[in-house]
Amino acid sequence: MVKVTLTVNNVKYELDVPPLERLIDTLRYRLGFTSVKEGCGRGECGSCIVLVNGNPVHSCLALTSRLDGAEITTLEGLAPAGKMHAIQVAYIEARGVQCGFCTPSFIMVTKALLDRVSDPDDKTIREWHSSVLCRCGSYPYYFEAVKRAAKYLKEGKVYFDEREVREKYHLKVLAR
Amino acid sequence: MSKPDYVEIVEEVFYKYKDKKTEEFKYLGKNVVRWDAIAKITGQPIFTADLLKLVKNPVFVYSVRTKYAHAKVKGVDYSDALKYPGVLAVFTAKDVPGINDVGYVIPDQPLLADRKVRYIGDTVALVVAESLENAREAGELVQVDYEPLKVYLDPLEIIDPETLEEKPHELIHDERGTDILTRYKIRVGDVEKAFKEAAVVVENKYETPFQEHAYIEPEAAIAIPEPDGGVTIYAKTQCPFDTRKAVANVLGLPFNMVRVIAPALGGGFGGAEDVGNEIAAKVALVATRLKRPAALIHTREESIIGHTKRHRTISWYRHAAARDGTLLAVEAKVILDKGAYASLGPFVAWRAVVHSTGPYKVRNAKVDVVAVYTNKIPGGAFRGFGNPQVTFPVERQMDLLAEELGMDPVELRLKNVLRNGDRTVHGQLLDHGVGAEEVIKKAVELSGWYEKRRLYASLTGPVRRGIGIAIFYHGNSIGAEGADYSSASVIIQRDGSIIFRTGLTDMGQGAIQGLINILAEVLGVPPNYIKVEAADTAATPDAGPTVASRSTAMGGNATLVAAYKLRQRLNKLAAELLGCGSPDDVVIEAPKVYCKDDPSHAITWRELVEQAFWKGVPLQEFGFYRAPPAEWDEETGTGAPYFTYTYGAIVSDVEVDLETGVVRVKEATTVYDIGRVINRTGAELHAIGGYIQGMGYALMEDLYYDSEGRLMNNNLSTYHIPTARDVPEKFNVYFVEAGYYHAPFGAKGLGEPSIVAIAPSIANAVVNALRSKQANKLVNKHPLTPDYVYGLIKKAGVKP
Amino acid sequence: MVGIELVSIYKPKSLSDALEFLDKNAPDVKPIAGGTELLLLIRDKKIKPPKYLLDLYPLKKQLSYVKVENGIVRIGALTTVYELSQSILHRDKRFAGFVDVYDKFGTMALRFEATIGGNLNAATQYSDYITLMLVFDASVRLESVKGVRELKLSEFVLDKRKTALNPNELVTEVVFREPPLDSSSSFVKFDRREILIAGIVTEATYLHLEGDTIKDVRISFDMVAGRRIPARALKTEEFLRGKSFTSDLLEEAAEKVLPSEMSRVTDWWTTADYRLEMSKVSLKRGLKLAYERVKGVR
Repeated sequence: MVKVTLTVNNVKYELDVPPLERLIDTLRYRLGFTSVKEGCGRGECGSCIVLVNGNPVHSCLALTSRLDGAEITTLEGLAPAGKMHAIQVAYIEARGVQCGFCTPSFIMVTKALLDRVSDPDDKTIREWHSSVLCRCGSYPYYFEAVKRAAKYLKEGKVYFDEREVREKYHLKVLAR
Repeated sequence: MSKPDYVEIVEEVFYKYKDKKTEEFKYLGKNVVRWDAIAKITGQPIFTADLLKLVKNPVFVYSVRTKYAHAKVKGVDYSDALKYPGVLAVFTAKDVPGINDVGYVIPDQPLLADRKVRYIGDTVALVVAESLENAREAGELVQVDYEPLKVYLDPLEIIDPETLEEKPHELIHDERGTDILTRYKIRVGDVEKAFKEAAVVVENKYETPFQEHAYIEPEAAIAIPEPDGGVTIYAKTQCPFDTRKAVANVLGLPFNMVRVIAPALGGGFGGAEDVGNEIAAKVALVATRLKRPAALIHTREESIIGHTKRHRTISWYRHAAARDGTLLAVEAKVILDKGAYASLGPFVAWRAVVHSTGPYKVRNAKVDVVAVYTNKIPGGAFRGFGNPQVTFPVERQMDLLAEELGMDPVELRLKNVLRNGDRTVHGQLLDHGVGAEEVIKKAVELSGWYEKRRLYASLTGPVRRGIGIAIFYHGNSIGAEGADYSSASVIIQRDGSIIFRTGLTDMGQGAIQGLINILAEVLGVPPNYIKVEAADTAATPDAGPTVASRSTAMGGNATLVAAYKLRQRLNKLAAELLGCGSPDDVVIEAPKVYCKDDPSHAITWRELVEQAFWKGVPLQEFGFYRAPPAEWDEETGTGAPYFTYTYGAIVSDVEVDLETGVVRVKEATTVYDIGRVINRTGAELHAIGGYIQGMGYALMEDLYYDSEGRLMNNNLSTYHIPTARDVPEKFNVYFVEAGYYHAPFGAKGLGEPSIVAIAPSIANAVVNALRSKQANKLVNKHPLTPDYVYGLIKKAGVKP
Repeated sequence: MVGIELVSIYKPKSLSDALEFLDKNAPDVKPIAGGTELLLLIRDKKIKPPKYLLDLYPLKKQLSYVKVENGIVRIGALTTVYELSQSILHRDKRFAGFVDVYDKFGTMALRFEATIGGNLNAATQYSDYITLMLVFDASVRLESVKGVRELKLSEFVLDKRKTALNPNELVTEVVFREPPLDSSSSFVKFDRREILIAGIVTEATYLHLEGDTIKDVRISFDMVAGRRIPARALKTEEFLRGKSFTSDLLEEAAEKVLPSEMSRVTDWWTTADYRLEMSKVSLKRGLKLAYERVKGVR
């Protein structure tokens, strides 16, 4: 067993893991971050992409034992409690979500992209989005989501109130 | 005989709003954010495998699969596996308490192989262990004594393509006495005479490939034993009620002891039909035997060999036309490569025969469709369900004919396409709601057809452009396959919020949003009042299977009926409370409720609900709808196979690299007549997503087997599907709304239709780019891989 | 996986510590860099799980760089593909072949994980950086406790998944001479789809022009003959060298010369014939692209 300290979504975890435990299994089954999906286990589908020290990484190809001291962000940690990140809101508004299995990864890839390029062109968006396979074919909507998110971030809108977003687009507590 | 009330309600609503423009509705046809979008973009645990984190102390189930594609099983020795660390049990066919069969349509498919294995993928034993790793490792220690038999990978080894008679061979299904699963035919008019009199005849042989669903979520199932001896199962399944039936059969339990819940599905496309039953039965068997929760999670490789595919087909088509382009006759033979088990093959073959002459006026037809077993992964349901396989040859034939006749492909199609008042090849009268002509015209306009045909004809150099069209029709729902019904329940809660239930599932396609929109529109409440419960055999009404593009039309009708009845009751009450002249004068614009002539005097929706509760006005309703019966004559292939049809026209604009054979789609135009747009977001996502999936089918997707029946491409780097970088630069999407009166506000389905004609439109565009008569004939199969296209460029002598 | 519980992972404190560990435990140890290849080989049971994994991440700071010094280009073995894209190699037209390889390499996310050293060590015909760096006539630097040696890439890659690396050695660097100003490079790869592909064939070109005369040229393919590893098309290079760059010349090189040294295989994906034809097309396209880059047209 290997002792590692990981910071996942700003919380520090001290873990004892087998040397070959994959990061995806640590995140999903040990720590319960189910936004991280396994679609192929071979770095092909991209559904397991998380940010490791800010870089998009296939968590199915990463070994937890090698990541001592790493900062990991999954979709669950994109915004503080009670908030929703502009990228998430952009993905809702771009209306591209279908089965949603690949969506967490597209959002994480978008985060990595927008951290580096604030105003990506179509070619750049396609290049980064080629990291994740979407069989529903939502790609064009996800391209649009990146542009929308870039706009929000440029306007300085990083976080949105989660309850407001929920009520706007989803279930509502009804006034008497 | 009077009509059932549900038929009257649907018709009444249709006629009442027939002329109302879609944009004038409040929720129908709007871009409503889907009900589960927030759960999905926040990464909630909504898929089956995610739920494992809520389950304590599960055991893991691994399927030991055969290494032979065709063999007798003489014995299974798992004593070594039992000794492996963490292994709790190994189960084989003899451990099945009920019926060892999970065949979908006919009982030809054992859950656990007993006498024989018929493809590399058949499960011989289940290993149960404390961890998935241990179960897998122990699986390698299971010794099976096989007697290998001859492996059949080509259906033409089994059937004579001339006579369509079965050839003598070593039977795959010896218990059936034949390896011909099913035959369907159409015999209409006098085909021989028509061919004799025809000015033009074109004929060709065609092939369409297997297609893998490649949904990104591999299958998973979790079973929890219940104290009463029953079992609750969470599984990736499109059809929880069918899954329940399969599990009940395998376990020998009554239906009410088996509860199947379908959580969110990470894609289905038809693929999550049979395999859902199979994995549910496996975990249920283990959970009930060991009295512990049991989980099964497929790897991608297990998923690909473990679930059914779109059937491969080989077909021969002959078309006859008069000099003016009028179609005179169609003669066709279609062989479906069935793979090892029937699955939904009989229904797929039937849908293929129904659609085998395309959306055209055809008076003389002789068609035979035969499904033939082979030792490959079974063909089953896949979006389109037999229709893409016949639409490809039909639409290629139309382009061959157009060239022979010197007509533009669009003109030829317009000349023959079905219109209101026409009869289909089966003799079915289409008295209204046929938008076929309009979809063609709109697609031509949006794609810039005529300009591009002219422009592209003058291009030179190694990179050519081409534009092609394909049209189709697609029967909605299950038609004459079986009883076609649907249901939904709506319960208004004390606070005015609403719980909506249906047995239809969401596999990602989002059809449930259409039902929410209908419910919201009819009740007058915003969609965000409505919560959708997951399909659950113990809690949601049986709505029939979630297949066949039936959710919006059939589920929509049931929802409409429930909403209508509730609205009637609430209107009556509100009229009393508010003093409106008539219940029809009540306007609900939740949270406001008022009489139409006095909006200032209003009560709230919540008050209305509260009053209804105290006055004993039921706040719950159950909606049911049964489709008009379909008719089918087995001998002639005539009748009224489906109650209505979706029509579509696709134009693809491609670039062909003459030096490499690489084809890329630059622009796509998709126009569909879906009767009425109920859920615009969902419709657009299908128009585009279906295209992208169809483009994969057209250009890159196929399964490759070695001579022993082993699949060569069992992962996502060897089975190519389109990536973000393959998506065309531009899409033109448009919906024609030629409403249909037995559907909610006239709506028809789009789930399956959105893939049907993509491949032929791309193939026709490639032919257009090559500008060669010989190439026109040579483009007779897909995928249009670079090597195939390069080969035909050489054969046809096309020069840069 | 049988035996995975027996694997242990070693995190070296320094390069010398890593080399000592290797020396002591070879051959029961596998160095792991990005991990995108090794973990799949273990998962697919193509190799037995080793007793030890030597984690190279701790050496990342030391072995991740792209430098051009005294006319020599040096790339640290742990440089990721993404890091390459942020280096001079993606800004200077002479190295344009690097941009081409990058454009078709795995997917964006994989480029953050895969390292140049890992790609070279994988030693398959799909190791695109081998194909590319063969035309830069690159060498790999191999270090062990006994010392350092440099091997030409062509001598390093022996066969599919087989290199001249001794079990106690580590690839620490890849080096090649800085190409002259009027030179450029290119890489050609295509398949059924745009990305996540093996490539029907892959081809790399290095071209040095003097006016329109081919002063020097190097060409490599994912395979040339026999072994399924990238190799130079030496006869074709020889034929082209010193001649004037014309389309007729390219045609002749492709049709007459290349086939004499190229042998392709048929497998379930496509045929040898098609691959041979595409080798010719790639040769012509690669040369033309490199030519246009030297001339500043691209």
